[in-house]
Amino acid sequence: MSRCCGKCWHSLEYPCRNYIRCRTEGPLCHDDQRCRELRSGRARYIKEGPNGYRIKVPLASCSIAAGAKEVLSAVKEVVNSLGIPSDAVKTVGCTGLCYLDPWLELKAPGMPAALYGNVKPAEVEGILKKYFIENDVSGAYAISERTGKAKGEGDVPTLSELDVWRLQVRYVSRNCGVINPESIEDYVAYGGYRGLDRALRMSPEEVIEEVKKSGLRGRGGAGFPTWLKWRICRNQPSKEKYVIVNADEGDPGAFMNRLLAESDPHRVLEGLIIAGYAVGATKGFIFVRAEKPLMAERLQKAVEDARKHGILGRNILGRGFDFDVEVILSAGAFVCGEETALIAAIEGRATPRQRPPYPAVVGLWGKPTVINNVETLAHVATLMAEGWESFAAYGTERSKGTKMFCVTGAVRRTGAYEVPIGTTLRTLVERIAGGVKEGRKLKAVQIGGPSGGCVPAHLLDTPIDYESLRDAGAIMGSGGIVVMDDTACMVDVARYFTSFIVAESCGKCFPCRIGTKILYDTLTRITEGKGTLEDLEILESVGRVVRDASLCALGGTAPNPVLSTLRHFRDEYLAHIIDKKCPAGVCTKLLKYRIDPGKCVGCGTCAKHCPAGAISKDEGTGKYVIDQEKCVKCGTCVTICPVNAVMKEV
Amino acid sequence: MVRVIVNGKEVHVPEGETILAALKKAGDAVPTLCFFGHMYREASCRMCLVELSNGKLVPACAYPVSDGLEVRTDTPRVREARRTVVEFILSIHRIRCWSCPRKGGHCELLKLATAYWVEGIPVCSSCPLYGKDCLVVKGEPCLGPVTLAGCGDPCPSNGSPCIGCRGPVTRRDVLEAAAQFYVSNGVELRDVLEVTSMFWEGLPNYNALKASLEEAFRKALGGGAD
Amino acid sequence: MRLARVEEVDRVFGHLELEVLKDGGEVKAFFKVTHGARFIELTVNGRLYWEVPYIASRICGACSIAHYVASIRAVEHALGLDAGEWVEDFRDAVNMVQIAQNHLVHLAFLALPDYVGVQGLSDLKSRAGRLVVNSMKLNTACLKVIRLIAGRIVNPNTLGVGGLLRQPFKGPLLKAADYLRECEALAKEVVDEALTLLKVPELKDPANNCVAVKPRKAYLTTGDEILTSAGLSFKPSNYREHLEEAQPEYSNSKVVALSGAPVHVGARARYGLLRNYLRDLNVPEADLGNPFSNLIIKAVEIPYCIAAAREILEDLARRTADTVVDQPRDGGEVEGVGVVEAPRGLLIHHYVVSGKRVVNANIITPTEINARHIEASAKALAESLASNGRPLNAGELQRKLTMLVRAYDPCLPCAVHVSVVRGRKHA
Repeated sequence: MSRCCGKCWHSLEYPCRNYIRCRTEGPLCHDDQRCRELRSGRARYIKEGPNGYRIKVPLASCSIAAGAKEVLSAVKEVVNSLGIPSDAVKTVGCTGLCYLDPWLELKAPGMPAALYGNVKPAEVEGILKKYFIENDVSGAYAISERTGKAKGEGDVPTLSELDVWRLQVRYVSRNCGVINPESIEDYVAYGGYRGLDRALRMSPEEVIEEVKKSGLRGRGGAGFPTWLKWRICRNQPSKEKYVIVNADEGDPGAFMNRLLAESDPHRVLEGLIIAGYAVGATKGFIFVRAEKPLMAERLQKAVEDARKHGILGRNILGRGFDFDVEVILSAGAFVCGEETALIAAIEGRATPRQRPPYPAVVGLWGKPTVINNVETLAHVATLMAEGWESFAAYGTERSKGTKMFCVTGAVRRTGAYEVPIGTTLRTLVERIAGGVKEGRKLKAVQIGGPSGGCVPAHLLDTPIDYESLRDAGAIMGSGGIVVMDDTACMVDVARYFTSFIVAESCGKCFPCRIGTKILYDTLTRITEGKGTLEDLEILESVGRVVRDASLCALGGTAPNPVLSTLRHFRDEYLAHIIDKKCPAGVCTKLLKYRIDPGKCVGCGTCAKHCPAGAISKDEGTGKYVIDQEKCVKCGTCVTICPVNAVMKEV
Repeated sequence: MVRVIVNGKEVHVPEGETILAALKKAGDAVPTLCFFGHMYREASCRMCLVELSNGKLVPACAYPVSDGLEVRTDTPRVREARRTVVEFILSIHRIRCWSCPRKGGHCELLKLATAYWVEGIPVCSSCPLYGKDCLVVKGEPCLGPVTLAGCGDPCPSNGSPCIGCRGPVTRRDVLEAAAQFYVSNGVELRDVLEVTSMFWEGLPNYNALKASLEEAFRKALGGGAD
Repeated sequence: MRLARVEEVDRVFGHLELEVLKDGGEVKAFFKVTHGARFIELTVNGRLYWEVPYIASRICGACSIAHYVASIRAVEHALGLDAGEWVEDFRDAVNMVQIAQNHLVHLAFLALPDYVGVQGLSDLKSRAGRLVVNSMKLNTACLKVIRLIAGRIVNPNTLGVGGLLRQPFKGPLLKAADYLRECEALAKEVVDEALTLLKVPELKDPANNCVAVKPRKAYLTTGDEILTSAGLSFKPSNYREHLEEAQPEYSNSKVVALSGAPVHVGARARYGLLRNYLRDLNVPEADLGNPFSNLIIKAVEIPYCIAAAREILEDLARRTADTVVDQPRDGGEVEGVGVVEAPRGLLIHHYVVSGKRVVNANIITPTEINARHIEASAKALAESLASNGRPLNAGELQRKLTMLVRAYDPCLPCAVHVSVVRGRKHA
């Protein structure tokens, strides 16, 4: 990011218009072979590593949780002894193939890059030796290409042969797992801030027009056309305007935004600056959850680095555009993801407000405010750099572009995947994420988190777009997908999500505050075998009112888990109510615990630990028996039996 | 001025006003609980919901008017929403009508509960409200505190103790508070049960009801402070 | 051989069947009350004395005031309580307004369609629209008055055993009187028009026995003496010596006979016995020997009741009210009988009170008393139609029998208050 020679005059007081382009194409203001080589060499070094050696270790929240830091230490220990330059080790973000965490990507000159998954620190030395010393890629999860030069190439698939990679379109996630997220230099070297550069050469109106042509819709869940929100804000007469990134990703199990922000924070920041330019804002905010500290840290670092290099501040890139950004940590309420509550949180108290008026007209401190999701802004940055056609090339008639989805739950390959909108759920769940584990059957797919609904297995060919999902009784939401197999009880699932909403309800309006609790209590009663048929009517009528009468979308979508499971899985509810059985064997109060006399060895451990004193020895047979009347269904005996003789019966 | 169509009637209100102003002009009232004139529009009680032509329910006190806006104040969905909201409120409201500080005054909640046929408030909610003599205070086993409101209390208002013909209140907390009230005025469980047996003995849940009353009296006599 | 069978009669209160047979040359009629038994006489058993009127008033929704008043009076007689003149007059006023309203509903909506040749109320509107509209207005006005002074349209609650439950205020009394005054002209109009339409069929009453309460003041006020057409008068407490009850196999209602013969009660009975009380009223000529004439007398009673009630209320407003409720004496086991003229005729409540509780009850409703008489009239009707050598027209018999039933305006829910059904005592 520094000058190539004395002729470069870029400074914060006198920024050069071509600063960004110059980093990769430069020098642009003077012609000098040495400077050119300096620049291209630097870029090559960043991209390919010292002499083409690279060891990439991911350091994102998911990888760190899986033990990446230990792997990194192990790598650092052996790297010199193997003759590899220590600056070949590069910490990167997450590719989204989280099921492989922690992984290593190795590259030596002449060898195909090799990806190793689920690496343990003890295995590091062996893996490095095999690759770098023996030029053997066998044992790798995948390689980048077939060169014909490495050993064992034939047995290892290339990434492009794997469905999990091939079916993705990594439009915004292209840098994730590739660049060092804490280096602005990396970002620029890989083509970053080109979008901002191009935008600043256009008028704000033209920028909005470009976004309009692309067809980008908000990726936070509502799917509102981004250009329209910007235009409304732009047309407001106020001199003070704000743009905010909603990085308060609250859906349990959703981490697309976190992944993007931790692995490619500058892309998000770039989108924010472009948005600020388009609407005429003077200040931007990044509102990020305090529970995702690494995300907040990396975004903060990105802001500071951008400021250092004149990408934030006064007269950005010499265009006369002043803009600065502040990172704000949220205090941890799910409702802050709702835009009026987010604004209220910044102002001091996070309760939502009645809309209209919409934030684009009356927002933060009463001024016109645009709030965009992390992924939306990442798309903005990308499509401004590459042109709107690059974005509109994907997707459906009404929803263009790609979207990131996090697939978790009972699948083989949990991770975050970016696919064109309109891809079917089946492709995403079965082909990319590998489907359910061996021996299990897919039951339902929950989309949209606690605000979303369940799509049953027979509707798996539904394309993922706003309209089709709504017709199926679900919503796109922010993209969190939880896959459930036949070990999941849909009533329990509804109860779980409703419990989340009950805890997170802000309490301002009656329907959400009280109605969700009624839904939760009713569901709990049903899972405990105390439900009646009347309870189903209660769920439906209370659900309807909570949906229609709540103040904000938290309450408005709160009944979705209940209503969608009632619609698609009514027979499970009836089994709980009429037969008093949980077909999936999940609801503990409806299970019967029984000791298999064939397996019981009569050790009495279970009886000793039973908190209800429900297990006793049958003197006749010498085996232990559980008294069903006394059993409180805690499950202690199941875990404690040394011979696994305690059976759970539906 | 902006044209708004309220229940099929056309009215004109200044731009920037809320639907509530239009409703007032058209003469179609909706109930409100959290609306206080020109203070900040909370829109949190959700009682003033009206239905727009696109089917959405919006609060009249906060939603701005626009030209050609069509609203309906009395559709089945609106009624169901309002009624359920009142039920929600009642489910967390401490029902102590006989000692409510709004004596002789105005209880909006009671009005709404009666208007939307929401069960749960006892009959003797209106006696103190309208300044009628309380018979329980005189030691009579009037069943007002444990009978469902909705009949307009003709018996107590004519000096006759309520005999419970409309049916029992079954909420435990109301029964417990009623027992406290009876006990502190010297009315005995025996007399109360005698009167209840006149009209409630045939009810399928009578035994459970009797047990609840007995329990409530036990608690009240046992000295649990209210 | 069955001559006619009337079942599922509409425009009456309750369920009944009327069957006329020819059994070996003799015509027999059976008035079968199929309405389910209600065991009211058992329900009041064991209840406190002040609760019983509340239960009794719920025997009937149409004449709840009559039951209420009769029940209160029975309890008062048993316990030796005297409610005072003011209260007795007040009770009369309330009862009269209900009689007027009850008669109006019966005449205009239940009986009239037959005489105009239509099936039901909606058709009646097209033939006698103004009458229907006026009747509805009058009905509403009467109900308004009842609500004002009786506390509730159905099951009143202002009266209590021994007095009133609340000090009466002049305001409501005068207001009620005003309402009644406004109705008087309307009532006259309704009755005049109804009378022009009421062309009742001819029938000779085979046994013109009747009983009614002798009023202590004006016509239709309460009293403590019962008159019979044979010239007898007896105290209510001796009713058992003259009125015999029986429970037929085929009916859920008891039947009553006066000295062994069928007897009738109601407007025709009252008027026949108490004509002198209505001297100054212009009553149209009516054949008092014709059971159908009940309707005509009812029509006459309507404006009378409205005017009389108004007078009483205005008078009450001028007087001071002595409404203090005395405490009942505890005289061991005591008995009391209360009688009142209900809209449909003589109503008797008889209780045995021990301590403070009712331990035995007997109730005789007007429809019970009329039961045997309906059978006798039905028999007479069938015989008259079959005479003169003409073959019997079954359809006409059926139609006329239905009209006959309606002329009595039976109230079956009241009739089945029994505790004994088909010889089996349920206790």
